[in-house]
Amino acid sequence: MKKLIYLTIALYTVLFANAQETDSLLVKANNLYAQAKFDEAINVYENILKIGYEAPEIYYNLGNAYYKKNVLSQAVLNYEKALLLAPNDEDIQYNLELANRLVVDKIEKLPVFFMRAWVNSWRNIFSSNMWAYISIIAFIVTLLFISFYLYSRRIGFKKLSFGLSFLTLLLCIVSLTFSYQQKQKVISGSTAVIMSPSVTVKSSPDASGTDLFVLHEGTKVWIEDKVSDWQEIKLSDGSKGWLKAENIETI
Amino acid sequence: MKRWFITGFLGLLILAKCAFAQDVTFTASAPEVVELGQQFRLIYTVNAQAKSFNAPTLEGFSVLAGPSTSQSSNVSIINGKVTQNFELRYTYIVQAMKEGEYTIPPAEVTVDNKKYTSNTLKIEVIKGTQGQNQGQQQAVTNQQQELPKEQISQGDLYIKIYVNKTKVHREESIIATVKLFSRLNVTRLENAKLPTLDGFIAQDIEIPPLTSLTRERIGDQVYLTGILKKYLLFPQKSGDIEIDPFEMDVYYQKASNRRQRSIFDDFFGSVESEGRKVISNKVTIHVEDLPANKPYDFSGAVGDLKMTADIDNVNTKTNDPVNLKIKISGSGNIKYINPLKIEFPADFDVYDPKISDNIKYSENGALGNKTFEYLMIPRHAGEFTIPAFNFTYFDTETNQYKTDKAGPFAIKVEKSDGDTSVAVSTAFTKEDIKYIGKDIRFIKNNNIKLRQKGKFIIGSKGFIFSYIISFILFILLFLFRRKIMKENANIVLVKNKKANKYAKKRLKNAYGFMNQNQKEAFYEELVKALWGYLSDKLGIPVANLSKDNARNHMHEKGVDEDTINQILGIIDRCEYARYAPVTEETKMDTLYNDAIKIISKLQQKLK
Repeated sequence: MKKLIYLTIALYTVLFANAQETDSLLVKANNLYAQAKFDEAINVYENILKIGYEAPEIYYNLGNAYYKKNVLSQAVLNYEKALLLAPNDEDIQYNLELANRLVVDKIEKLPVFFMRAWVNSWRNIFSSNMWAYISIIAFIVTLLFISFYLYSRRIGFKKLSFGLSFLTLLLCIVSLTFSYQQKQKVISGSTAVIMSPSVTVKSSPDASGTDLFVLHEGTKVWIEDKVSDWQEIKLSDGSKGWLKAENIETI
Repeated sequence: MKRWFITGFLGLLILAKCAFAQDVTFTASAPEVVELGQQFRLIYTVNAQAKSFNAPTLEGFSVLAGPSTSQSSNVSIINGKVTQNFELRYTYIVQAMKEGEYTIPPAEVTVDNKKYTSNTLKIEVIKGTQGQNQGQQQAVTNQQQELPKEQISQGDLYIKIYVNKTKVHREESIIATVKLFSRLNVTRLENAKLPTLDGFIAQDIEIPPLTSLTRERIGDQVYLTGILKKYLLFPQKSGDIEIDPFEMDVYYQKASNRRQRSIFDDFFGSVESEGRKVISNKVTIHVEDLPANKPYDFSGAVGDLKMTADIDNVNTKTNDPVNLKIKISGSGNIKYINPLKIEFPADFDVYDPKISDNIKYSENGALGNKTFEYLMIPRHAGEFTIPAFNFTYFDTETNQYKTDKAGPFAIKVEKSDGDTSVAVSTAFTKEDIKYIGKDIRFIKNNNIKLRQKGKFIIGSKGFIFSYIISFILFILLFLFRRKIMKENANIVLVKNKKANKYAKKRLKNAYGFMNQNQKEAFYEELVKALWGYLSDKLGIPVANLSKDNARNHMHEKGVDEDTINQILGIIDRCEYARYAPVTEETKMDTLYNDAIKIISKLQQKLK
């Protein structure tokens, strides 16, 4: 146990040492934004991301700066990224909705099975890391309850801790799954945003394919398949088509 | 006889009234232009009973007849109000004798011993067409004389449209006059077809109804003229705009072709009426567009204009109305001026402006003013400002855009005393927040925890480590617990093993006491030995040991009832022997031997 504490402390100090310079960059970028120098603010935010650090707030602030510069596609992209890292943040949701209103394409969403929607909404309460913490705590609590069960002499206490240990074990497994799924959402790159002002979606991964429909910048798509530099995308209304990978950027 | 009486009475009444009721006017009238040899009337009119009329000398004219007097009077009673008119006329029939301009000096008349003089007249005598061979004694009018002889030509009857300008800017006013010229005796005008006036906004200028034609000299001829129509035109588009001709049917008298057959024809005159359609000329007006450098707030006002604005109540209270009056006056297209753009404070209730205009259309164009009255009701206390506003127009004098400014007006609104008692706004109305614009929310500044990209706790070493460590801890705890339990179990075993030893030791002591014949100590030691043995063997502390639970425990361990009874019996006997006289059964050596026997017996059973 002590070892673990030392390890985490060591990890944090390393992170903080590196984070110091990025922190000053962040303050600088936020000041630039406050002075309405959006171009410069965008540069600094992008630099922080380039160094290899991220936070939902950075994506959010960057999205704001792009929004102010009327670069809709980048704004939507960064808001979506921020939302993946902090799925339950109200500000991000609000600004994304505002940006989406400016998106040209109006796509009807397919209805989601209510159980699935329910599970999704639970899952989106926390980020991957938060779920991971929860699973660890739940695991430890489960072990504690099992110990109680084993060593307690009172029958009532034994029964109670036995039941509770099952509950916390379930919580542990569920939060582990959620954590894993949240992580997958971030790293899989299965969603993307259209970056070109207008792009024609084809029926096959080939320039000679039939034109199916036209999409405009800022529209969110799901990536289904890939053939060389063509990608098959799916819209939230279920329609599918192929377009060149250069037209989209994964979230 | 009766009628005479009434007439006389009325006459008296009128005279009596006239004497004091009216201002006396005395006027002379005659045509302005006459032809040589033409007969005309020279009339002096006085509106009161007059005496001693003194006619002036008429130079250049000869008086053919007169003065003949005539009088007329009328009385009208309207709603009990009596008005009277009285006229006395002295009429001369005069003939012009010579060409030239003549002035007829004023005449004189006396009314109620006061002398009045008439106006002077100017008469121009021109050489007429009928020539001088006109017989002086001819009594018929000149028209009748010429008509039989001559064919009616175009020049005798025509209509002309005059405009005061042919080159104007858009919206600049033009006056168009439609005039009839005639040398015939016009009797009737019919079927006037007014020009369509496409491309203009037309406004009629009021003219007196055409009752009689006036004489006018055109070239060296006298025409009877009359203005038929007068327009004020505002061109609405640029380019050449044509004013369509004016058409009208004109009827005139014409001498009959029939020669005088009877004396009556001659006497009454043989004339007949004839009509003709007369079409006027066309007029083209060149309209220039307004200069291109229009100010942004120009809304089409053209003319010589001026704006004034005033506000009646600068310090007011809530719910007390404030009036802003904007007045635009001058000449130009006032009627078509739109309300100005004024930014009223958002918290004011502003009603649509009350627009009123007072415009006179005349020869000078459209003159007048237009007012916009705004009624504002402040609903909340505070200091408000109506920002300055502009009125921009195109000045036709200088051909430039001009701007009049008014404002800003600062209005101070105080809370009225009984703010809730106002009838207009109910006391408990909540206002929705007015959302002016929508914008994204501001960036996040606080508590940003940067972390490396793509790093997740799940699957990381620390994550797995913490799982494993907590599990290992659990297992360790389990093992530790088990070990302690084992150790506890060993203690019992040891005790069990050593039980015999301790018992023997105690018995040995007891044996010693027995030899020394110390009864008390012997029994005590023996009981201790037995209890201690049971305690060690059964794993029960001595303090908790009683005969009952010792029996139970031994029972559990499979010791037969006989043995249990024996050992407990020995303990009983020992305790009994301590306090009672020694019997056979409680003899020290017997008890000692029994105790050794039973311990060896138990030793076999409790292993």
